[in-house]
Amino acid sequence: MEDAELIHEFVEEAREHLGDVETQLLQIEAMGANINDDLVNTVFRAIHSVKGAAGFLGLTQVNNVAHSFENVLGKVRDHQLVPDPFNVDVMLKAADRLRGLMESIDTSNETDNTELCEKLDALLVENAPATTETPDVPAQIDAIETAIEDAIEPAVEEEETVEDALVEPAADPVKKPRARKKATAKKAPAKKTATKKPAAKKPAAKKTTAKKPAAKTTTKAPASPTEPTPIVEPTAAVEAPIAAPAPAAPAPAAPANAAPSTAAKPSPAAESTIRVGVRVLDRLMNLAGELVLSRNQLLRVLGEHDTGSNLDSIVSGLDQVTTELQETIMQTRMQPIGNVFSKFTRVVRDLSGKLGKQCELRIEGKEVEIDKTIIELISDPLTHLVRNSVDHGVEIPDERIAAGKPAAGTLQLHAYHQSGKVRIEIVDDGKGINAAVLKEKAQSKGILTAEQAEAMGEREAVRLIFHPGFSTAQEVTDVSGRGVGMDVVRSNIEKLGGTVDIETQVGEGTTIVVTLPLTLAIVPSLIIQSGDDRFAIPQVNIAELVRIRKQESQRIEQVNNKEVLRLRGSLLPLVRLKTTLGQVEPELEPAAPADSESEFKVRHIIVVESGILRYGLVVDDVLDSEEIVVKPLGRHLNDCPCLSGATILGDGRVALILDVNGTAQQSKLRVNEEDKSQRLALDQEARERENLQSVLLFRNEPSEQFAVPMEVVARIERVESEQIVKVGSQELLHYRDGSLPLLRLENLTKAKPCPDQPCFNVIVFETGGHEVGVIASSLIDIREVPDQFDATTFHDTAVIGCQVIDEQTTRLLDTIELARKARPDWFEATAKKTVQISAENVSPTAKPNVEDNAEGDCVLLAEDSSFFRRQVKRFLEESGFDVVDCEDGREGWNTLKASPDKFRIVLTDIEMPNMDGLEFTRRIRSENRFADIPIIALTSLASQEDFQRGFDAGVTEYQVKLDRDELIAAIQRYATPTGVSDALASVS
Amino acid sequence: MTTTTQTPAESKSSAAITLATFYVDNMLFGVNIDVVQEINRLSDVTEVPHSPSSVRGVINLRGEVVTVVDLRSLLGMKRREIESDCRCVVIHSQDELIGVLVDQIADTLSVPQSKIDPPPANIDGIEGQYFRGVHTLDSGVVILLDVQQLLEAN
Repeated sequence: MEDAELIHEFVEEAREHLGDVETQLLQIEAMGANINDDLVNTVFRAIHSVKGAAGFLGLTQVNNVAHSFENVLGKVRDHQLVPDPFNVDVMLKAADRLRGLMESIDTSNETDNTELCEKLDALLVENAPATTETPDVPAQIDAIETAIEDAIEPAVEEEETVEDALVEPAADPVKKPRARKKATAKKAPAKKTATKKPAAKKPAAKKTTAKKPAAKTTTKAPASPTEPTPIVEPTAAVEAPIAAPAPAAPAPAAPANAAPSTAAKPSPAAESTIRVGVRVLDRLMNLAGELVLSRNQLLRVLGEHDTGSNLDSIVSGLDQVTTELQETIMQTRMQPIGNVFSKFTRVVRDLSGKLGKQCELRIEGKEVEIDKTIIELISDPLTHLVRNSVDHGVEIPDERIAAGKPAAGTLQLHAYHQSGKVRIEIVDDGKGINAAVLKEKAQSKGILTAEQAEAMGEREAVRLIFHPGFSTAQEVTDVSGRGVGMDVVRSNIEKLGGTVDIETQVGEGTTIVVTLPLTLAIVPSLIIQSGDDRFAIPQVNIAELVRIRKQESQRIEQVNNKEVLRLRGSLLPLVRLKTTLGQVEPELEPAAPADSESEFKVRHIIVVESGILRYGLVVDDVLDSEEIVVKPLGRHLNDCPCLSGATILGDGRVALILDVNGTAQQSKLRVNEEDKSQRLALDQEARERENLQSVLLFRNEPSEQFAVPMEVVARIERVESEQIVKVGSQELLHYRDGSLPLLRLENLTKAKPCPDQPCFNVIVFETGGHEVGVIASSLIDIREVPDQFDATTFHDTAVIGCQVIDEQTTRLLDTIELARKARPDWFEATAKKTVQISAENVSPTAKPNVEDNAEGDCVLLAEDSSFFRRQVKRFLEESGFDVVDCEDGREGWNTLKASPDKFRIVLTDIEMPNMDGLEFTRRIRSENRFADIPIIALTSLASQEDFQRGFDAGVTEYQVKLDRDELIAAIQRYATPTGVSDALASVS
Repeated sequence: MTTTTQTPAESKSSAAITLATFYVDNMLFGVNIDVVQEINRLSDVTEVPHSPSSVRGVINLRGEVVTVVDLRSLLGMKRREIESDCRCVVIHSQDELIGVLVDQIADTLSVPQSKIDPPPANIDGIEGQYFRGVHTLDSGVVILLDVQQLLEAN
C-alpha cells in the first residue's frame, strides 16, 4: 500500500523533472560547444534524482536508463562530450524513454532498454576513463544516493506542515543552484522544487535507522560550509560511502539539526509557492460563490429598508472584496500557456528533421495564463496544428530557395489576450493553401456542388479543411495523419468553447488562429425557463434567439409530423424542451396550430448548435444571460442525457445546465444527412448576413429602456447627485479640468422623467468636438443585438428606432441628434468648420465638378441592413450628399460599373449577402479606372485583423456606422458634397 | 420523542455506536452518525428531468450541488409530498455528499454493540436487505440502516 503511494509520488516527481529536461536538452543542443554548466547541472541533477529514487524503489529498468543517461550528462558537464544533434538525439530518446516508463511504471521492470543504454554508453566510449564500478554496485549506490537526497532536506522532517518553509535551505548546496536557475528560467520555479520534497521525504521515513546515519554522513561533506564549490561532485559523493560505509555510521547528525534554522528564512530565490489540491480550490470557489449570494441577499434586504448611507459604503466595500476574492480564486487555476508551448520546440525539431525540412520555431506570449483544464485539453489539438504546419505548410529547403525564401522556414506560435479571450496564432511562412484545389476536392467528395463552389469565396473555401470528412486518405502521412482530421481539431476546440480559423496566402504562408476562453469553470450562459424550472444553456451553443409572435405563427410548420421553423429560407427542426424533459406529456401539449390561435403571444425559440447539429429549442421564457460556475452532478444523476451539469443561480437555487447534444438525442431529432451540408452553407450565409450591433442598455425612468450604440459611448461615469450643478437651465458635472454638460432624456425626447436618486450614471459621448453626458438612472447591460430596429412604429426626435430586447421595448437613441437638440450652437459652429475644411480640400481638378452635380459627386452606399442603409443615407443627404444605395456588394458593383463616372466615393458594409464588402472592394480595385476611388468600409464591430483584411483588399478607411460626425468628416476629406460646394460657390 | 434506555453500566460492557435516528413512515431508523455530515431543512429542491425515481432533485448546500434521494423510494415505500417536518440527512458516500430525505428527525442514541439484535428478514413488509440490526427501546425498536449500501445499490 505504502509502496504504491511512494511510487505514485515518485512518478509525479519524475514527470516534473523530465518535463523540463527536454527543453533544457534542446537549449544545450543549441549552445553546442559553448556549454552552460548550470543548465547541464540542472539536467544532471534531475536525472540523478530519478535514478536515485528508482533504485530505491526497485525500478531497475528506470534506474538503468537513468544511470547510463546520467553518465553521458556527466561527460557533457565535464566538457568531455560536446553536445551535437546526434548525441542530443540519443539523450532526448533517453528522456522520452524515461517518461514512457513513468506512464506504465508497474510494468517498467519488464521492459528491455539495453539497446538504448548501449547507445548511451557508446557516447562515453571515446576517451572514457576506465570505470571501476561493477554492474552490481549501482543499485547499492543508488540507495545511498537517495539517502543523500533525503538527508540534505532535513527541513522536511522538521517542518512537515509548512511547505512554504521548504524553500531551499541555505546549507543545501546541491539544490540551490537549480532553484536559482529555475527562478530565472521559469515563472513559478519554487513550485517545482518545493514539490519535489514530499516525495523525497517518504523514502527517508522508510529507511532503517542503521541506514540513516550513514546517509547523513555522506551529506555532511557536501553540506559543510567550508566546502567552496556549491555543486557536489556526484562521483565523490557516490564513492565516499563505498570507500567507508562503516565508519560513517556514528557521525553526528549536525547538518540535520542545523538546517531548520536556516530553512526558516526563505531565500529570495524561492518565491513562496505552495501546492494545493484542485479540490481545495474548488471548495474555496464554492464558498466565494456563497459569499456572493449572501452579499446579494444583504443588498436586497438593505434595499427594502432605506438605511443610512453609512451602511452603503460598508456594503459596497463588502461587494468589492467579494468580487476580488472570487477573481483571485479564479487566478489560482491559471497556468502559463508556455507549459504547452515548450513541448513544441521538440515536436518541430523532430518533425522537420524527419521530413528533411528546416524549421525554426518562435514562441511569443509564453506567459499568457489560461485555465489549467484548458491547458490540458488544448495540448493535443495544438500539437496537431503545429505538426500540420510543419508537414503541409513549410516547404523543403530546395523548394523554398527556388521560391526566393530562406531555406529555413519559420513557425511562429503567438499567444495573447484579446477581449477577455486568449488567442493563439500559429503562423508559418510556407506555401499556403490553394483554395481552388480545396474546392475541387470538396466537389469530388460531394461536399460542395459546382454552383456552391463557384459562389464560394476564397476565405470560405480555405475553411473547408475543417469540414468533416475532408481530410483524405492519400493525404494522410504518418506525420499529420494519425487518423485525426482537422474537423476533429475544430470540434475539440469548440468543445472548449473556443474557435479556430484559418487564413492563407498562396506562396506566403498560413495563419491559424485559435481563440479560447480564459476558463472553463465559468461559462457564459443563457438562463431560460421551462415549466417551473430554470435551465442554463452555454452561450457557445447558442446561434441566435428567435421570437415568434402570434401573428407570425405560420412560420412554424409541420413536416413529417415534426415541427419546423422557417428561418431565412431554410427549415429548422424544433424541439420542445418541456416535452423533451418530460415536464409535460406530449399529448397534453397541444399541437402548434391549435395553441397558436389560443394561447401564446410570443414563442421563444433558441437556435442551438453543436458541431453539425443545429435545431431550435422551444422554451417558455428567456430570462437572462449569466456567467455561471459549472458544478458536477452526483453519481445518481449520471444517466440524465439532457444535462451536462448544474450551477447555482443568483438567488441560491440550483439550475441545471442543458446538454444540447443530449437533448437532441432525447427528442430523437435526426439530422438529415443529405441536406446537412447544404443547410450549413445556407445557415452560414444567413449568419453572415445577420449584423449584430453592440448597444448599451439603460433606463431613465425605471420602466423605460433605452439603447445607444457602444461605438459612440466614450465612457460611463457614476456620479452623486450633489456633484451635479445647475447653471441657468443647463446641468453641469464639474469634471476634471472642465465641466461636462448633462442632458436629460425627458427634456429632449418623449421619455418619462428620471426619478431623484442619490447616484446617477452618466453616459458620456463626444459629438461635434464636445463631450456631453446623458443621465441614466440605471445601466442594464451591454448586448449584441440584431441591427433590425423598427424605425416606423415609434416616432420621436433623436430616436432611431425600436426593438424588443428582454421583452422591453427599447429605443435606440441618436446621440448626435440629442446633442444637436440640446446645444444647437455647437452644430452651427461645426457647419462653418465643415465649409472651411471643404474649401481647403477642393482641389483645382475637383472644381469643375462643382458645376455639375449629377456627375462625380454621388456617394455609392452598399449596405444590406435596411435600417442602417436608411440611417446613413438620411444623414448623408442631410449633409448635402447625393446618395445611391444598394442592398449588397453585387448590386453595388453593377451600379458602379453602369455609371463609373457618377461616383466620387464608395461606402460599403463588410458583411453582406451575395457579395461581401471585401469582395466588392477587390472587384473595384481590380479595374484600373477605379484605382483611385476612395472606399470607406462601414463597420459596427471589427478586430484589428478585420481591419487588416480590409486594407489588404483595398479599403481606404474604416468608419463606425453610426458615428455620423466622423463619417461625414471622412467623406468630406475625399469628396465635395454638392450642398456644401454650392454654399462654397455662393460664398465665393 | 424517544429516550435512551441504556445505563452507564451497559455501555461499559461493550463498545457503543452513536446513531442519528429518524422516522420514515412511522418506523424509527438509525444510521451511524459518523457518516452524517449535517441535517437540514429542505428548501428549494430543483427537480432533475430523467432522474431515477428515488431522486427528489438537487439542492445547493453552501455552493455544492447535492443530490437528494427519497428514503421512502429507496425502501420501496410510496413517495409523499415534502412537509414541514421533513429533513434532509446529508451523508458522506463515496467522496460525495448525498442528501437523504426523511419524514422526521429524532434523537441521537448511543447504543452498545451488545444491545443490537440481528434484524428480521422483513419489518412491516419492508425488505430487510439493508437492515443491519435492531435495537429495542421502551417505545419500540430502532432499525439500523446500512445507508452506504442503500445508496450504493440505487
